[in-house]
Amino acid sequence: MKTTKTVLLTPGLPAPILRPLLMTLTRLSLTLALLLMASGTTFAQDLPSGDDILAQLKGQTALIGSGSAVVNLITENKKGDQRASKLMVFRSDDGVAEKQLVEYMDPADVRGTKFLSISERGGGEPEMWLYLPALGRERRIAGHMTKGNFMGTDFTYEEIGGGWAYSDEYDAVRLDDEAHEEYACYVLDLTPRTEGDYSRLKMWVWRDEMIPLKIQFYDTSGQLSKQLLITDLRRNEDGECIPHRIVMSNELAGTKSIIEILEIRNQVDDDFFTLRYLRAK
Amino acid sequence: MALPYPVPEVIHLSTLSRLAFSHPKLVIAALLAITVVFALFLPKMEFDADLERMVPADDPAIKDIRDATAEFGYQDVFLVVLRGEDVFTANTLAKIYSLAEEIREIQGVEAVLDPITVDLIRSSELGIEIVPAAPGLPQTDDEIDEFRRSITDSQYLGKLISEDGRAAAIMVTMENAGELANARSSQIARDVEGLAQKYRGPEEILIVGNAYISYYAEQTIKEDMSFLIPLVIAVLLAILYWSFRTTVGVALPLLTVVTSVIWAVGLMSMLRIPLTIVTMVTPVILLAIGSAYGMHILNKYTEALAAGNEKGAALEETMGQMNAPVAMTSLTTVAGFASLVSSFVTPIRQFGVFTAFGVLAAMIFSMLFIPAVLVLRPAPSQFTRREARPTKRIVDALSALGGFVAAHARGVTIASIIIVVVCVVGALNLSLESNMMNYFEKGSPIIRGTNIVEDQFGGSMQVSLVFDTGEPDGVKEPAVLNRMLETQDFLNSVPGVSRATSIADVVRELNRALNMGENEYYTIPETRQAVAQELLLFTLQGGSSVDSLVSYNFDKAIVSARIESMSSEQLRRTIRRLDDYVRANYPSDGDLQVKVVGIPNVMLVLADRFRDSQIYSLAISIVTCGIIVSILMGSFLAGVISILPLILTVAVNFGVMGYSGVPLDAVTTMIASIAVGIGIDYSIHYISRYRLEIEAGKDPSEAIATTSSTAGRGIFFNALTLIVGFAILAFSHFRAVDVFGYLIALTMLTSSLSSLTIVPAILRLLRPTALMGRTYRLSEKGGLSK
Repeated sequence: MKTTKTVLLTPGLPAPILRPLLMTLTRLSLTLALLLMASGTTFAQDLPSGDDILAQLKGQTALIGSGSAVVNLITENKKGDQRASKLMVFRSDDGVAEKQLVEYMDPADVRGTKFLSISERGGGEPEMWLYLPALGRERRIAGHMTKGNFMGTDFTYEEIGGGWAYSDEYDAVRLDDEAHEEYACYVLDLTPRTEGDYSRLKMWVWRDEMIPLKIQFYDTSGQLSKQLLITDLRRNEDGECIPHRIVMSNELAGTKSIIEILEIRNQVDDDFFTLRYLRAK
Repeated sequence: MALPYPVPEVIHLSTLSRLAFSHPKLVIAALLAITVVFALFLPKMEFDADLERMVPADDPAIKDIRDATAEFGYQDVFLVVLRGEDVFTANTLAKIYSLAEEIREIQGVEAVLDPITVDLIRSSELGIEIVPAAPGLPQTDDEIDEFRRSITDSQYLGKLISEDGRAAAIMVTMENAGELANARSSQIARDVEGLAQKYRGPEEILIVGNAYISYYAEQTIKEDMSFLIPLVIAVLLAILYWSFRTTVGVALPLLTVVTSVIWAVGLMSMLRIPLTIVTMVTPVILLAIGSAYGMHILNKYTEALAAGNEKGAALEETMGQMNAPVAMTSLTTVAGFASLVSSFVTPIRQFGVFTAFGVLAAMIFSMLFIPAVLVLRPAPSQFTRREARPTKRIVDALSALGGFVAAHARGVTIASIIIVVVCVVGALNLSLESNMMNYFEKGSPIIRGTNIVEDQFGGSMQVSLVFDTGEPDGVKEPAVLNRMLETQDFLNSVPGVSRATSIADVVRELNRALNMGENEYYTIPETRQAVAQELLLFTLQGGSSVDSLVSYNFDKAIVSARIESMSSEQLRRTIRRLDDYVRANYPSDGDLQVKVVGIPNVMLVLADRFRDSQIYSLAISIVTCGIIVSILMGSFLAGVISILPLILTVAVNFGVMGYSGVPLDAVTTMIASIAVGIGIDYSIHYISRYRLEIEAGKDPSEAIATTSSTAGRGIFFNALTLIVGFAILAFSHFRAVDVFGYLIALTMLTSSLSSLTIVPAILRLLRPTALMGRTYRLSEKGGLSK
């Protein structure tokens, strides 16, 4: 991958794991992207080509407008130690700007910390602010750190933050259908159009709902680098199928990040995405 | 050089000789086949100079360091330092940049910190910024000035850039170093050394750290081996030629020792036991001591032929008389080495086992291979057994010495006691040394490099204090962080310790940056919330992970500091200060548990083990040898007398070490046990012969004079060979090994001399028949005596 750098935190003790965790909470759109996409997929269709299937996935992301959810974000290191936080996520996308607000509910010492990001469609870097209640003022976050891990998790912007925009960047070839657990799936082999972090992706898409249940990311040396698993699918009152648990494992580092969806709401007030709300207690 | 003394029938291993006589070709073929099998393993020999590996893995000091490594990553220092006139020039900076880049590419390297790309926390208009010290490689004067300002204003001054601006350090972290096979970390050190060579000049490039010391020690072991072994063989050739002047006389003893080395080292290799700074001594020692057996046998054979015997009769007489003494002397030597099995230091134990095995191999080879070859070969037509004049003079001198001792027995005894007392007083100053650094010669590049680097960047080792709060997120409590800062101040105040840091530094730096860089905010925020939120901001802002400073759930944190390379004694005082501080400030029943962890602790454990090993193995070897002699000679008194010269030998050894400041280390702790195992032979020779003379009806003074010139002659030449052989170790590139060479040569001198002085003096003071034990009567019946 790319060169890694670290902040030197100890002179005697070289900071070990280089985990540049630049990120924007915009990444959390993954969650929403997934759920909203899923909720939009109401019927299965016979899709002959890989690209068609991929386009269909993209179609779902376009449906993302606004919504909110309460989630648990759990990270796990190589030894299996876990760190958890509970977040409230609000999202809005009016086609002009994508706005997102994340508020910490737990652990107690960061409760009330809020993170706001606004990115204009086709605009430059997203604008990001962090409000820290203990310091009583919002801080601007540099937006150029968009490549890397989200808050020390294994999710990156490229993989999930952009929604399911895979058909923009990848060509898909349909492989033989396979069952993933009890789900009948299309299996796609994705090749990037331009050189990037991955040489290929392999995707298992549940035929009935057009939901990708498993995605494998292979790095440029052909090694399995990450794997995304979508589980805990539940139907809501409208009969839509919603994934409630998303696990990204970093196969090389041995780490894992888990998002558990605890609650889904649909109403989002546009006032949420303002500095005024950010500062409000 | 015959060694006539009575031995019980039990160890009269004539079966071996009969086998050699009846099936010589089979015996030769079988022995050569075994040798070939062992030899096949030689190329697979592994080398290891890792300190940690010397202490058994279940030791608490090792366990602590493994735990800390699992929790916080690499717990050691590995620095690559580039030093020139001025670091801040386009050329030198480019060199640092690409050197760091290339080190990053080495497999097994987890992280590399260099002054150019290291991230700095800066205050910005709206919050904080985390940016590299330089946006790219600084090339223009302006860029270089800008870079100089930002790095020298940062906390990395004195850590990645020296205060005088002449040196830059690149810090290397190894993957999972706790469990890393040594082969890998030493490979990394080798690769880094390769890169250093590529970039060296005009700037100096120095490497420090335990991984590099291990690598360098491995190289030195290899160098030593390829130099010392041929040297010993050459000296041996010269001695053999001087003694025998025949092809057989030179070839057979030489073949014996070379074979014993192949067996011992081949077995080590087969069992995947690496050659360490300790076990590297095995081949040299085997070469030196193993030749004696073959020489005794050939001597006797030549003597028997010269007396007019037929070849067959001469051979039978030779083996009939020589099997027992060869077995007895080699078995006591084996006992001496085997006593090292009681050591707590892994390589010393291995040294004991494999050297003992090698001695056994030499014994078997001498008793089987040599007679088998002699059976097949025609008897030499010419014997050059003329007494050379120097030998004659030596014999006269030895006889005169015997006479003098007999006349002044009381005086010699008192003088010996005085020497022992003086030496014991000196031995009280003995120090312990387990720091590998101090095993190298003063002028070696590794010591020079370490001195320079420590001068500019603090210590070359790391010592850490692990704080355990006992609850998740406990480290975010301001009180805990402030106590960590206090502890850092204490650490920095201890001489030889510097650059203490912890997560508390990151927190106060963040706090300052968040408060417009005002220095009054270079403190820990007042609430846990503020700490937690600042750290969250740091993470979101792209701050690198703090995994090397805190545990994953923030229940534990580590304060680490650099510590200079120093002698184990100084290190002990320093670590004791740290321990005392911890005990006084963090009682074991308090909320905060603190533990001192690091390689220095391993070194101290090792030093203690050297001392304990010394005591146990020395006691075991003395008692075992005393018992063997008592049994074989059938007299408890003979056993006691035989160990008296060894007590003097050991006392002199420790006395000399104490007075001259030579410490007990991995290598020198072995001297005493080895000296006992080899030195006891001289007492055995002397006492046995004396008994024969008394039995023959001589009065004690007369018996002593005769014994001193006959047995004394054998003792003299044997000791001379060993002294020359061991002294070759003085050419080693390890200070520790060359001191070992001198000292063990000294012990051979003292043990041979004291067996020629103390032993006769005591014998003179006793009743002549005091030593006539059971064996004497046995030997009378067996007719073994000459």
